Amino acid sequence: MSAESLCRKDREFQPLKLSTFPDSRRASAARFVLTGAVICALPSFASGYAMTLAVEVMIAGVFASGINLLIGYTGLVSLGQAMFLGLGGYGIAVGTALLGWPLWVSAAITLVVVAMIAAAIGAICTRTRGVEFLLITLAFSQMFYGAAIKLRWTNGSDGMSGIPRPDLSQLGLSAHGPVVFYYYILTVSALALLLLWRIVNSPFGSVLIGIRENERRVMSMGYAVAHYKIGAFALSAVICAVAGILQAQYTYFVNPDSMSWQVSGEGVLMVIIGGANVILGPFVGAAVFVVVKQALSLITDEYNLFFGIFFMLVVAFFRGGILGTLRTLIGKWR
Amino acid sequence: MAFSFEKSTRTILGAAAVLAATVGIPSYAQDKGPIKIGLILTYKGVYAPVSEGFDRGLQIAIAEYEGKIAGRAIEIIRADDELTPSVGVQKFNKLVQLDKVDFVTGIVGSNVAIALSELADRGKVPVIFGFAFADEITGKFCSPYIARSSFSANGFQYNSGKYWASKGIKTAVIMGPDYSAGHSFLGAFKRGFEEGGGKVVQEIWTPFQKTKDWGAALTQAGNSGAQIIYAFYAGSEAVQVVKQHADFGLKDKLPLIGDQWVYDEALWPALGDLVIGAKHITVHFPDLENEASKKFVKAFREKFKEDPDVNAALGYDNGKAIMLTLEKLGGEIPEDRAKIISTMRDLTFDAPRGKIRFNAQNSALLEKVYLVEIVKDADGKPRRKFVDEFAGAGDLSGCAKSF
Amino acid sequence: MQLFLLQFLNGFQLSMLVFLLAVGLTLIFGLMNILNLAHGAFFTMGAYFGLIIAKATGSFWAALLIGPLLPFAAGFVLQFYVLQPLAERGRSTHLDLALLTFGLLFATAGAVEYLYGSSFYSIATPDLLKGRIAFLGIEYPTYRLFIIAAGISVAAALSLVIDRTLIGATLRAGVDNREMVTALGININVLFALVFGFGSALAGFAGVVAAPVMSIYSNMGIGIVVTTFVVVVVGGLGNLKGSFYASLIVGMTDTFAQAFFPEAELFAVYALLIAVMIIRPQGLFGAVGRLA
Repeated sequence: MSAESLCRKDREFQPLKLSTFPDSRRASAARFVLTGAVICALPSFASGYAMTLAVEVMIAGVFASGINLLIGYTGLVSLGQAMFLGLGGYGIAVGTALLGWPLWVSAAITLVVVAMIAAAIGAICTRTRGVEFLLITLAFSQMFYGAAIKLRWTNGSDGMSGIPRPDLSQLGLSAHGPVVFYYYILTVSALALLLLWRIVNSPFGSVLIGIRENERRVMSMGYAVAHYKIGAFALSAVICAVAGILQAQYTYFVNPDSMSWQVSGEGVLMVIIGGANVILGPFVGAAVFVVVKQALSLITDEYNLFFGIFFMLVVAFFRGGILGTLRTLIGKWR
Repeated sequence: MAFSFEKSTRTILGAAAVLAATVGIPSYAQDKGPIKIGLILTYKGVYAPVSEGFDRGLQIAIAEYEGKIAGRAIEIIRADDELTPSVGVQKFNKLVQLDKVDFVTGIVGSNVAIALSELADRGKVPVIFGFAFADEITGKFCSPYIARSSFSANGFQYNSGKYWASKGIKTAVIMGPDYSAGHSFLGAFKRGFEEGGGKVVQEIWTPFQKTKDWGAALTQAGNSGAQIIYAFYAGSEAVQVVKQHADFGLKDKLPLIGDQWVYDEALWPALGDLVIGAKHITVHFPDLENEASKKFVKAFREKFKEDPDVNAALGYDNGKAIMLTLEKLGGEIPEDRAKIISTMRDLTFDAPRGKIRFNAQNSALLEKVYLVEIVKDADGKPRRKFVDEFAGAGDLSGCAKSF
Repeated sequence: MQLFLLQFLNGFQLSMLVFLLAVGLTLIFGLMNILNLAHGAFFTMGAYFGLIIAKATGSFWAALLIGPLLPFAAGFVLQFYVLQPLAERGRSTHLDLALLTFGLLFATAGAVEYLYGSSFYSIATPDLLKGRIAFLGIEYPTYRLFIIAAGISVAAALSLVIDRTLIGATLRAGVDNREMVTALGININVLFALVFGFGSALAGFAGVVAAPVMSIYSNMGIGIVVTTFVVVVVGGLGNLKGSFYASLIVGMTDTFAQAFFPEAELFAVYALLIAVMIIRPQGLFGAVGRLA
């Protein structure tokens, strides 16, 4: 992503500001609480299918958020983050089914392992930039994809099923029920979002943004840019892996398809639609993506065609995604 | 980085409201509305022609009952799983939660079936698989909510292996797509073949849906010194394998034997004369001499102006099993929908392929398997000719649950 | 020995097919810095258009000559009327253009699916090329030898054009220093559009050439795109000779892995790419110091 297209030099570079319009701080906080309340209360007035869609949106949103950390905030566009989505899912599948560990242990170990793998891969990939970075991340994810298809230990292209959901029996709840599962996903998504917000607004996050804007200047300021890039890559991978775990729990299975480059592409699209470098952008993008895909498939069989056209229009005309465009429009008003 | 609450808030609030409003409208429970059946097939992609045949066969079966059971109309809601498990899951959820179907049927690919089996079991939604031959589906992944109206890979291929061994074939090379159904089919053949005294000298597995060029694989097979290639491929993969097999001059040197999907009718236009002389096993062909088959073929010819392929026969069997079950239930969907499956399990009926009955794991069994040869008929068009028949085998064990 | 020779020829044939695709992509990238993810769409377009021609005229050769014309026109139009204006307006960066072409890839597959459904089609092998040729103790399908010949001829012809003609010189100059070429009075937009069209035509040509061997179906372009990228990167972005050798490497690796090390099949090619990127990020044959 070019610096110019993503950077709104006038307002953005002010961390910790809660609102673009300082006089309505309280109003914006109120709106936030209201939205949160609606989302929390969704199961009580929405049907089962709406909840299923909402779950899909949230899982996609977490995945896209991980990608956003890399694309939006660090300026590194990767077409390979799906490999971490897949690794997350396979991690708990292998941990719970093949190694017999409890879910929480498997999840924790999976995330640690993913962070390590990502750091290693990141060390290699971040030596390149731009298009080469794109292609090498793509190559890595295709490699994992190919390995997953061939590996008999994890059932090759058939994947593994029987992924467990969290055992909430002590609370008297079953995570198999749609409502309970919805709240579980909501909780994890909110935590992921919080984590991302903390990262972005920390000094570490500021350096990442600096790298996106002008890498050489950050280097000349004495920062070990390579380390920061690797760190961003690893963090992004962990968030994507969390999404992978949630996805595996949602469908009860995992297979190599979740590592394909089409999945990576869809994640990037969600970030672009919603607005890169905005915290909630990926979730908005995920919501639009999932809903549009559903709506299109209800209307027509040829959703590939309309989808491709939609993608192209968004990229060509909606600079900064939906949120970015809205911001520009509203900014023009006032 | 400014955290812009307003725009994001508004958008999310708006989206949530729209979502909830459009989808959350309560539907009033209707007493005697239509019986809704979700039909998931692969209408696009490698297995598209297979799906179309199945759909047609299903329509013939339902038409026998004039589209009604006990005064209730049968409504079929179709969905395309794109032969991809994650899409299959999405469509399943949509059918069950949005369209509120009473049960789901269809599903071609074993990969999608395996993904749905868990979901069906957890969600307590009955699924009747119309293809999905991998043994694990009614083995390891068995459930009181899953049935299969076709047959298992072992049931189809095990005795085929024994048959070929008994006909003087001592060495074979097996070739197939590297996924559950491929392994089930060819694994069963290998077991039967080797128990019959033959030897599989080489196994060639090609990446499922990803292989474009079979040159390398066929060259390896040609070099193996075996007497036949025994293969399982379907749809567009089958077309390419048969064509390239002939391209490499292997048609006479190393005959390509398989099941009816390797030589499916849908592929005949693309293959031309290559199919003449090919031998394969099948569960049904248009000239089969039994009452149920004659009736089915006649109805199919009237409606669609051509002969049914084996996929249509399987669709018909699936539809017949469903209609008979619904008839037995008096058109009432029971509270515990597992009863639909258990009722189906107790059926025995005459189908175009022979007698159909189910085993304890809700898997339909094959009475007979036929060997046919494709020859040119008087009009110069290819036709299947009966050569031999043998019994279908039982299923592999592997179901740990009891129901 | 015979097995080795057969597999070598299989690998060679696959390499030439991939080369036809990769060379167009690397030209486009080298000159305009556009990562054309829709390249696969032109492959598909060429194949289907060739199918139409073959059905209309009954001749494979007509399909081969006329088939690539549609992708040429489509590519030209895309670059001249869509991509170039967007790039100039400054609203879209190279990456955005790449993503735009990503959307185009799926849109084309969808359009083709809509028009033709998901059946697979085929163009009949021309009578001249049917059958097998026997040599060195083996028999190899004639048509596959034709594919090899086609690839080598295109490589030779392009090499001649690029190195020995004025157009080739202009192209090379454009890759090295775009502004200077414009300053010399050459209409760079038309040149770019022509090159884009030509690269797309090559992809279309590959589509028609591949048709008798593989089936024609709506998703045929999507699968082959990733392999093409591997070749382009290994060969060095913008490097023609590099893409030829890289095609050979990738084609042989793929074929021999499939034949002798099937467990490594899908893995090997990407591991190769990564190894190349680590050791020489500019590609095996690329110029040192080339930045994205």
